[in-house]
Order: sequence, then C-alpha cells, then structure tokens
Amino acid sequence: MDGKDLDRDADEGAIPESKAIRPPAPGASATPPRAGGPDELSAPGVKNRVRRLNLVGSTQITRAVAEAVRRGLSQQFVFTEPQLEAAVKSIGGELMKRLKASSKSVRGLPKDAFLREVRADKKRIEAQREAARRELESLLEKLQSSHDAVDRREEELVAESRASGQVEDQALTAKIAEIFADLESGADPETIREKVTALTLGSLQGERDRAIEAQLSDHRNEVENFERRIAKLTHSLHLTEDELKRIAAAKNIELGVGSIYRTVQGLSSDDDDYETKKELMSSIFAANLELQKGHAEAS
Amino acid sequence: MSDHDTTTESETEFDDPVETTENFDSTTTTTTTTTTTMTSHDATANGPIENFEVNTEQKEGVLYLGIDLGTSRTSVTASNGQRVTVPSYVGYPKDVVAKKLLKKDVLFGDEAIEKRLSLNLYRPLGQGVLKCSQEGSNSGDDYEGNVRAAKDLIAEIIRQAKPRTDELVYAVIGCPAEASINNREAIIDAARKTVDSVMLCSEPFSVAYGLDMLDDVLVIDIGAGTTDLCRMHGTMPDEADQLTLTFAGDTIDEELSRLLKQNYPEAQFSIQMVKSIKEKYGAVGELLDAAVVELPVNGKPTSFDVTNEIRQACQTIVNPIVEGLGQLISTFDPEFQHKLKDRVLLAGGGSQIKGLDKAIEAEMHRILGSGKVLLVEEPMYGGANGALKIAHDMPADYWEQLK
Repeated sequence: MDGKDLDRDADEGAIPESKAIRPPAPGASATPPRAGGPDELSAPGVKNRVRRLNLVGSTQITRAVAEAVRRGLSQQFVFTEPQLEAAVKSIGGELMKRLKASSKSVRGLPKDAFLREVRADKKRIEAQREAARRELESLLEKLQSSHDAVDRREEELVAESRASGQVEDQALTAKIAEIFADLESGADPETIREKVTALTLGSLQGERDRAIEAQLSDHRNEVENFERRIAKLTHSLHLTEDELKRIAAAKNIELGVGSIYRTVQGLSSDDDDYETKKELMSSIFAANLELQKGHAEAS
Repeated sequence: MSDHDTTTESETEFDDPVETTENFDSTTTTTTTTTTTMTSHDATANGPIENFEVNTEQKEGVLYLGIDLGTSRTSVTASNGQRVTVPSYVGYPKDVVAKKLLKKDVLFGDEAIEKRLSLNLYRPLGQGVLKCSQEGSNSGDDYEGNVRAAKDLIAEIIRQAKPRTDELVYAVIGCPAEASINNREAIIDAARKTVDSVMLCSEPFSVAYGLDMLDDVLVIDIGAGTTDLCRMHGTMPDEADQLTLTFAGDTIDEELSRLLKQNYPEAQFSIQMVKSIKEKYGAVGELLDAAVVELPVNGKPTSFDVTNEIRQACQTIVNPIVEGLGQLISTFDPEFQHKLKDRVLLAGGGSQIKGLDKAIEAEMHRILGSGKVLLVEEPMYGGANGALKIAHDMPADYWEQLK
C-alpha cells in the first residue's frame, strides 16, 4: 500500500456502512485468499481470514525516513545539531510533498472501487518495479562495459608502451651497431668515444625525463590529495571552532564552590561571650536596618 | 474487538500492522483511535506523568562572605574556603583596539595595573571612601566612572569567592570607621546586586571581633588611604570610640617619593614602583639588610641605596598614630586606661612594615608612659576574617529582614 494516504480523521468519513464486508453466506465455499494481496480483501469471509492489513500513514513514513536520514547523516558526516535539523526538516518536507502529490484519497469509496484502486496501484507498482529492474540491469551492463573498456585501454597502453620501447631498443641497437661498424672500419677512437658518450647520455637523459615526469605526476596527485584533505579538515575545524565557541560561552557559567553551611548559623549559646556578642549583633543589625530603611525611603 | 484493545496492540513502529475489525469503517476508526489512545498508552506505560514546578526561589545552603574594602586592597574570606585579595584597581579598555587586544571589557587588580597604559584606570575606594559618593569625589574625578568601578569591584570580589547559584549569599562588609552615611549607602547599593543580604560594620571592629578581643583593646588598622583606630570595651563602639587618620600607606608612598626625588633627582620612577619598594623593604628603625633598588636613569637601570629614605618615610606615620592613640586613651575611663595601653592591636596592610610595632611601642612609652603592641597574624585578611565571623554569628531573622 504505497502512496495511499489513509486519512486517520474519522470525521472525514470512511467507507459507508452499507458497503461493509459481510460474513459469507452459510454453505458458500470460499477460495483461499492469497496471503497479503488485495484479492484477499475481496474474498468471501474476509472477516475471518484477513487478519492483518498493513496500513501506513504518510506522516509515519515521513517520520521514519527523516529518522533514517538523520542517523545516516550524523554517522557519515560532521554536522551541528541545527544543520542536522535543517537538513532533516527539508528532506521531510520534500518527502511529504511528494507523497501527497502521488497519493490518492480513498475516502468515501465503495469497497469495489477501493479494491479496483488497490489493484490498479499494484499493477502500476509492479510495472514500476519491472522498469526499475530493467534499468538496473541496463546500468549494470553499462558498468560492465565501462570496466571492459578500462581494461582494454590499459592493455592498449601497455602494448603501446612496449611498442615504443621496442622502437627505442631498435634505434639504440642500430646506433650501437653503427659504432661497432666504425670501430671495425678503423675510425678515429676520439670520434667513437664521442658517439658512445652521446648515445649513452641521450638514453640516460630520456630515462631521467621519464622518471622526472613520473615523479611530477605523483607529486601533483599527492598535492591534490592534500588539498582535498586540507579542505575537509578546514571544514571540520570551522565546525569544531563553532562548537568550541558555544562551549566557551557556556563555560562562563561558574558552578561555584559550596559553603560548609547548609543552614543559617547564628551565635552558639556555648560561646563564652554569648551575651556580649548577642548585643553586638543586635546593634549592628539595628544600625544597618536604619541605614537601609533610610536609604530606601530617600530613593 | 474493541477499539481500545486494538490500539493497545498497534504500536508506534510504522510497519506494524493495524488489525482490521468488522468493516473498513473500523479500520479508519481504529487508526483514528490509535492516534488518540497512544498518548494515554504511553502515559500509563511510563507511569503517571507528574506535572511539577521547579521552585527557582528555593536555595540550599548559606554562603557567608566577609569583605574588607580597602583603598589599596580588597579582600574576601568565605565559608566555602575561598580567600582572595586583589588590589583595588579597576580598568576599562580605552578604545576598541585595546578591547580587542585585551579581550576583556573590564580588568581588575594586578592585571589592571599591568595593562594600565591601555586602560582608563580607577581606584574607586580612594582615601577610604567610595569616590563615587559626593564626599569622596573631587571636581576632577569621573563620578560615573567611579560608581561603575566600585560596583564592578564589589561584584568581582564576590565572584572570586565562587558562590553557587543555589545558595544564599550573606555578606558583611567592613568599611572605614568614620565612613559617612553616603559612603555606606553607596557600598550597599553596589553589593545588593550580587548578594542576597548585606550588612556593613566598622573595619577595626571586625578585626577585633575576629580575634575575640571585645574588651579593653585598642585596634590600629593601617590601610593605604586611612588608619582607623577603635577602642573596644565590651559594647558596640560609638563615634567617640573611633578615629580615622589620613596618615596611612599612601602617605608613606608620597613621602618616599618626595625623598627620592629630593635625594636622587636623576632617578626615574612611578608611584607604583615606590609602592613596590615600600612593600618589599618597608621598615622602621634599623634594617637588617640595606635596601638597594634599581631605578632607570636616562633609560639605564642604576642602583640606589634607599635605606634611609625608606626608614624616614615609614617613620612619618608613627607619631600621628600614637597621637591618635593618646586621644582615645585619654578620653577613656581612667580606671581602665592602662588596660587599653597594654592591648594595642596592630592590623591592616601597613602593619607589615617591619619594626612598626616596636616603634609605636617605643613612642607610646615616651609619650604615654607605657604601651604594648600586638601584631595580628594575618594582616591582609584580618578585617575580612572578622567580617566573616560577624556574618556567621548574625541571627537568621536579621538577615531575612534586610533582604
């Protein structure tokens, strides 16, 4: 029962009493209903056989999805509570909108019409499922063909590399052969020495260039990696700073140190100068009372 | 099956089935009932939900504060074990740049002194009175600034005692013996914002009370702005029992400053530096070690032996004190004058000047024929300790009436 908005408000009415399911006529044979399908509802004796019907309101759906989204987001990402709330609220609102847009009201429908609606929905859902399955298969095929293409390209690159290597080897072999030919023909040792040196240095330079290029490429990749990490850490740092600011603000609330006295004390009657002190307390109080009263009156 | 029974089986999980009953009407009805009944189901499942109110006025525990508001130092002793003393300076950043640099709206004590070049600095308890009251302010003084500074200082010293929000705070504040009504009202106004109930008492009296010396004792409380004398004779001291002198710590600083300028005109120094020299080397009579200090001369640190200057400056308060003692003793019952002379209690920050007790004693012998001076053990906290004891001994209903 997807997308049906079963209104829970009894005041807005339901399927009329006259269309209520009646018990089967005595002696009538009832086809065993397929469990869980809408046909079950239309079968005679539904009262006895259909024990449960799954009904889910759109509010409950939205709530459940919102909770799932909240958990997913909080597990995968670092969000502050207000950000989470805003995201969940936005997703929930959008979901509710879409549910309502695709739902149909079944209020006041007769039973047959209701069942027709349910069956039509079932067919539509099955068609959607089939379409989704086909799309999934198609996507999997595409994914496979992409993998194959990548593999083929890798092989091509290796082959190219080998080919270019072979060409270089052949060129090198030819040059070496040329040098030996010069040697055999009695060429000037100085000239041969220069040729060998040039050949060696040229090959070496080529290898160096390739090595440098590879290093630079690695380096660029590493830098990009670091930049991504820095961006992530910066974002995380901003969130942490916000949280710290919040805590710092809260930190200004000092809890204090508790007094050793739970109640007001006063003079102890055991005190040696009890009477004297009692008089003194009384005098201090009287002077303060007069002072504060006078001040209160003046102000 | 009743709707109610149905709803007890339909839980809050969204994919649990709702049982149908006889007709589709009931289905709808059931879901409706589910909505409404779930609430009561939850309530009964979790027990009755009690509606109770938190009484924010209920406080458990009583924190007593004894506060000594001094010109130079403000101290607090509390019944939670906290004891703090801070220089009585309050500073506010001069401008936005200073505020950003200091990261604070107001600074107190040593921090304010250290950063004073970036601050508008106040010493709101100058000369033993609140500068914000009309008597204490001069024409050039910033009245509003002093009011604010006094309130902030009192709030800060209370804050430093770390009171809990769920405890009553009862404070006794010691103020100078001869503080006028205006000064006292100003102190009460400042304190009422941060405590539940407040009382004032005379500083020298609170020193004596803290030491349980209530009879036949003369208290000398030497502060920065004033020196308070008070004679105790077993009852509340009245005006005639108390005397306030303006010869005190600041007087010594000014005298020392004058002598240094006179004898070492090339030396550069500030009043804060002079104060530090006095606090480190202050003595009357023979010093054990010579007082050699470094002062800049044209920007170059130079050593100066200031032993004599210090001795001379500290000596200046001895005579006025003994004269004041003489005044209080001579107006006392002659039968008990000798008792007073033999129990002179020296307290306050100024009592830390080495040899001052002996110097006063010697002067008393010379002028009054005899004398015995006792030093309090904790000069910085003597007044605050005594105020705390008064707060502790004050009956509950007295506090209640002053709330």
